[in-house]
Amino acid sequence: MLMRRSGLPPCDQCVYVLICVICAASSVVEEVTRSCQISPHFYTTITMAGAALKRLMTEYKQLTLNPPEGIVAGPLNEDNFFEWEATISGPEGTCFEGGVFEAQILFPPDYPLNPPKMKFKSEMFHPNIYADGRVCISILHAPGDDPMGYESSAERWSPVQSVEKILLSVVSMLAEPNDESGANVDASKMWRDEREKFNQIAEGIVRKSLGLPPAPS
Amino acid sequence: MALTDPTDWPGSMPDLRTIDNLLRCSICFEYLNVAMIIPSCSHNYCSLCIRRYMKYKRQCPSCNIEVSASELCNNRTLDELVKTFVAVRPYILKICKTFDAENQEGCPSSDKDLKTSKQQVKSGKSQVFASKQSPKKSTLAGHFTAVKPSKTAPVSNSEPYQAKTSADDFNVLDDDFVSPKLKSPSRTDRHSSNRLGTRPADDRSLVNQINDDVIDITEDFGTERPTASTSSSPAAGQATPIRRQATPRSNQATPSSNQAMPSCSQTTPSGSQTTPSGSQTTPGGSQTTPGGSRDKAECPVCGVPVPTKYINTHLDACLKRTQQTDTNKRIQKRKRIPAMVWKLVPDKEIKKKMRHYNLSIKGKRHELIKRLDEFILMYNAQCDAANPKSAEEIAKEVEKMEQLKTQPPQLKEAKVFKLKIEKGQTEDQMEKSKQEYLSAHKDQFSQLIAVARARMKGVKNKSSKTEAAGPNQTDASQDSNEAETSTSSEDSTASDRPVGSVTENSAVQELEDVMVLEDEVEKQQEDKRIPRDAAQDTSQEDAESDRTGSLFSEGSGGEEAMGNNGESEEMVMDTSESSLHMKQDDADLMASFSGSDVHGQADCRILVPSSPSVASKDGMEDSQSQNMTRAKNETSSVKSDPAPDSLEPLCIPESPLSVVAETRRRKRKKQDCGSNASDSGSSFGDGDNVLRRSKRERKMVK
Repeated sequence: MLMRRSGLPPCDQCVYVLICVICAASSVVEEVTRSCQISPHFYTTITMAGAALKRLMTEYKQLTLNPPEGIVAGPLNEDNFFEWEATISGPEGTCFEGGVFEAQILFPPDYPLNPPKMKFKSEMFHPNIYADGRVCISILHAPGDDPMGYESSAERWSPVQSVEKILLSVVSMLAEPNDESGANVDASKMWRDEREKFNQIAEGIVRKSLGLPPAPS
Repeated sequence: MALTDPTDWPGSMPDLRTIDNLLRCSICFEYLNVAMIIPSCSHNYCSLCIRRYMKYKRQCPSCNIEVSASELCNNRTLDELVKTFVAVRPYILKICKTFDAENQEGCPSSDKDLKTSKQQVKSGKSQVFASKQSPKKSTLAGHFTAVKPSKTAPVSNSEPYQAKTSADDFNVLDDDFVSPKLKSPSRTDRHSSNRLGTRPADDRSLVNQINDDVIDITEDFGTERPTASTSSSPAAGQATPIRRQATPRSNQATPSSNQAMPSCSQTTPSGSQTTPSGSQTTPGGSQTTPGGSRDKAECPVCGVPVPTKYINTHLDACLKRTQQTDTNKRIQKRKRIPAMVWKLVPDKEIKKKMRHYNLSIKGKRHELIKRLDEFILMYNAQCDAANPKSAEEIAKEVEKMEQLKTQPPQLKEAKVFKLKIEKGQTEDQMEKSKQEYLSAHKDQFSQLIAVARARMKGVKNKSSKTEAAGPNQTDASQDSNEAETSTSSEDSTASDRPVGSVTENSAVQELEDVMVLEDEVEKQQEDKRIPRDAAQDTSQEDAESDRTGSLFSEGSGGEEAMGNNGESEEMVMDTSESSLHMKQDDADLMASFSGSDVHGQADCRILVPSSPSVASKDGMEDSQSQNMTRAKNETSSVKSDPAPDSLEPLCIPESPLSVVAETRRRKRKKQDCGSNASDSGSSFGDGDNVLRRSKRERKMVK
């Protein structure tokens, strides 16, 4: 068939096609392998447990219908209920007043049994928030793992806690930092010794979170 | 999945929210499913939830008190409560909402009033309540009565609830006379006794005459009794005990077998009763019997007065009966599977166990353990239930859940718009998933095709004007056209792109497939030619379907028969080539337009050649190299198909030479003829063809 139709000599033609095929095939393999590197979300989707999903949906519903003051939270997209985004406004009467801080909450597949992880996306300067944004409060620690070795079991994570309670704890943490367990040592030292300076930095962070230029000093 | 939560209740009724909350498990936030109480702190959770949690921590989630799984106790009252509340919930909710709405409109009445009224409604006294209340509140009662009849014929006001609440047979007649609080325990007792009574009846076959009677009775008890009581006139419902006491008396004169019956029917409940309250009611009723107990003796086992003559027979039956219920009880209370230390259990043992429970033994050790663990958890949780599921059912459930977890739901797949092709899949599997994808997105594809077609029409009209101006200008116009099209929706590009996938898959497989493809492309060309000549593009598919393999005879009908020949050959290759690249572009969209979608092919093909046309500008060899570059450089080619023009500058500088060199090397290796001259010649020819073809292409595209 090929011969009959083409003006070129048969072998030439065949070889050409063959080469194309081979060249392409090699890169195809590359591509396929590349595309098989699955995104981290994929695993969460796989392991989505029914119970966890149901509970997260219930919590989401509750949070949307009865949102606590100054807190907005919900899943980033409805396909993945295990990754939420929360927006927390700085509590009034504190150095973080007026700020709007974004945070990410990641839920484990066995959610209510294990606590979620929370991380601030906006820049934060706070004794209980690590430099990379991770939040360090007792409610987010499963009983058993006690990084600082002082938390009582009562205030740690248990399935009866909820996202709402976590967020409320975070708000109160913003209002009253716990300088005993310094996740950010600099911040806790400053909070304890140089409150003025701390407040100034906090104000800068608030302005930043609102997209305002730093205050003229 | 209907999600309910306490916030469903209007904010003006916080107590209802509290009630709702109290009936929920604080681990899963659902209504308690087989409630288990922790005796030391009296917190309640679903059996499954708390057992699962116990694997993490042996403590109460609420108060952190130390508990072990063996300490958990059933809380059947709570189960019953949940059951009732869930059944009643929609009604109360409806009432509350309408009431709330009315409240907001008119003057607000206090919550307390509403609550009390609600309780009255619950206890089935809404009529009384309606007459007593102020006109405004009576509207609430009106709502209630309006809701009620839709369910069942109103015997008593509380009936709709009960009818829904339970498939049990407790009679409604008592309702008017006994207050709900008193009623409920006896109800549950009767319910449980029924259960106990009917079940053993199925099992027994080797029993004596009297026992047979007993069976009859128990079966009667299970089925007939309730109907009799419900059908009886309101007077009969005055009190069940009275009816019971009446029956033995009338039976006194009847023969022995009959006499055994009533007494035994009474033993059934009392013998199986577990709660003290229930056992109190039965003898209480019989003890009040006046006069009739003169020549009767009270059975020491069931406490029922039996004629002295038959006391021994009765006693035998009675004792046997209780024994049997005991064994039945034991059967009912299923034994839990003890926890295992998996590290110490050998594979063989695990598999044996799994086989025993009808679980599949596929997978690695850790998977097996996970599966068996889940099964044991669910099994043990079911052991707490009043009617535990069978092991097979649980096994099925476990496997279903596992499947759900390993296979992400179909819906998600569709949303993400991804074709699932994985490493290590066989061609058949890939083909299959491709087909699935196609059928799933048929609508979208046809939409895109329609869009593309409409666009093609526009382009053609334009180009027909500009064509006369010469090739260079045509180029420019082509560019502009392409710019236009590239700005159009990404969807359309998606429809263009997948062409390659068809070619690709087949190309990788066999050379012959490429030939087939060639045919297709030729057809395509024909199709394109036809509309151009006839200036009507809608007839494309028809034309294509009519066409057979001998295309060239038709094709040569044009002005440049030879050119056509060469071109078409070249085009085949280029198309296949470029399509290969495209495949690499996006593995997800790869296979989308396979043979099943003829229209899609037709349309897409038309657009594909635009990339070779670009190549032609850069000369003969570059055309090839560029294609190769694109093959390697997926990121650039991921962009829309009509766009390559704009990408061109990006593509060219990126090591085309090395790619060419490599291609050459491969060529040399593979070439059977082995002559360099023919090689270079062919590539030259290619270039020429490409040049020529690209001009043609532009025309065609228009």
